[in-house]
Amino acid sequence: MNRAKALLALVAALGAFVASGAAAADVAIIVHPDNANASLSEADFTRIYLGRKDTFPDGSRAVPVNLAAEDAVRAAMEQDMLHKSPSQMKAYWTKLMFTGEGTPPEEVADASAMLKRVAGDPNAIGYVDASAVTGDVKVITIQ
Amino acid sequence: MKKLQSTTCALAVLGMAATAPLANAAAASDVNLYGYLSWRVEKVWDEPALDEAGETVKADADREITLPSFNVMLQYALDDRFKVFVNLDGEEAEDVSVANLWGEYQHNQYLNVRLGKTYRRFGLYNEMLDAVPTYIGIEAPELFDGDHLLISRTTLAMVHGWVPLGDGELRYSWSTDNGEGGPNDDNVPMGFDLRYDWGLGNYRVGISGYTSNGDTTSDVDLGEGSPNSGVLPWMAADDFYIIGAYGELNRDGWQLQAAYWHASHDAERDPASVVTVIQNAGVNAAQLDRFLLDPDGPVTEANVDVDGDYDVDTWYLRGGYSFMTRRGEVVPYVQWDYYENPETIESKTWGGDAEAGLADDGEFSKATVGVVFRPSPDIAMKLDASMHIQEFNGSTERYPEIRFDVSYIFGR
Repeated sequence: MNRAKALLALVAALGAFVASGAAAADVAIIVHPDNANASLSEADFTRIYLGRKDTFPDGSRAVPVNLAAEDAVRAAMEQDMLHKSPSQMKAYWTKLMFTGEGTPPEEVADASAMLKRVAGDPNAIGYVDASAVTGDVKVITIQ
Repeated sequence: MKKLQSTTCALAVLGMAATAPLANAAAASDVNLYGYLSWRVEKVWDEPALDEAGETVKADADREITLPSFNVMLQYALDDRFKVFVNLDGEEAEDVSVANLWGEYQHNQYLNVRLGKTYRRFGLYNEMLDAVPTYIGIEAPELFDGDHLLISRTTLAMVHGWVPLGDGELRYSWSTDNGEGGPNDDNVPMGFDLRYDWGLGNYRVGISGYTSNGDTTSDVDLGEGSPNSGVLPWMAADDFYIIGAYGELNRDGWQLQAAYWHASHDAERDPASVVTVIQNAGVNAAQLDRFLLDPDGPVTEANVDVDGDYDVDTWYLRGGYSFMTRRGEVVPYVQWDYYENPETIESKTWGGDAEAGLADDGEFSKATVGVVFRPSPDIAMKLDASMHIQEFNGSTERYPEIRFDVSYIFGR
């Protein structure tokens, strides 16, 4: 019984890392200027970014693009829109990848690369900090 | 040696497939090469056994360090409709086997056809057991534990798809293959899974089932270890089915899971095999009572009860809570597993199950408490401790087990 108590104490000690932090950012969802969609439901946006849907509401193909994994804007988008932490997102995609069910969205290095990528592909959908938006892309609303 | 040569060839093909397209920047995003490895140390204390006088004695098992998983996977999208998937399993970094090798045609969301060796869609875990770093717990639920599988993990043809339904998605799969050890009378085994996901995958309920659709046999010969399927090696024939239901909730960091499975075997024992098992495997009184027409009589083929019908039941509850710390993600979890198989024996060498086969009545429960710590999303450290509980030699016996596992996900 002492051994069992010691094991429980060890498990509890490992679990005793407490403190948290979450980022907040004003994220703009962007598409190509020719994209006919002016808005997306939050459910559709989430489905597209979780690989569960590959079309916009008008039927055109949707190609999600992600910022780099360590980017704070990406973390904010995933937390606010997809309701998942970076670890949870990694676990989500790892499960899909390990079962052959899918692969995560393409990644670009930073906001300028994201703007260039989305401005060059009528099917692309991405996101940047709202202050980085330029006239080369169209901002759509999430309802 | 032949296995190693074929493994080397398979790895070489994987490498070529992965690197050749990478030379073409446009195609690079269509190829993904990745995998994971895990290292484990485990220890069991006070495991009960019988001495020569028939009294219960307890002994600690040797501490084991293993490399239970080293999987390399490749996913290649030929175009929007066709893709291939390869999963090489290099357990203990000694032998490499092909865990998965399939191609899939994606007609639309309603109809996808997958041909090749693929994990069957069956409950919450079968398809993701090669993703140990991502789920709570270290060990598979009992229905997919290596020495007492209810069913083989892979199948050879699968049709699947989904339809929107209400706020969620109804997903189906249907699969078939050659049966467990080999079919008789050209029977067509069938497996299915039907699940409803809603809340963007945060909630899930489903049912899975399988029928051998006729007599089948074990996939291992007697004396060659535990089967990789649900058919015991001393059966001359086994016509069986499995049915079960499961549910999962993910919300606000909580993850709760529950599942129940029932397998029913219409089986016929092979008398010669049963005699061999009794003479070599060390069966207990309850098992002897099942195997022989007269348990006090001679161990002969004529005294073997060939009627081997039996049922297996298993269920589990799992729960975890994920939260972030400055050092990474922490997920404490608890699990309770129950398993009952009255037909099995303890000796793995002779096709048995060291847990259910140890118990007087084939039943055991396992309570587990553990914690996952992920300092980064690619690295998971898990510490968990289990208490095994079963009837042994007429009294309730408990023995503890502890496991520590470190795993790393690599590639993309």
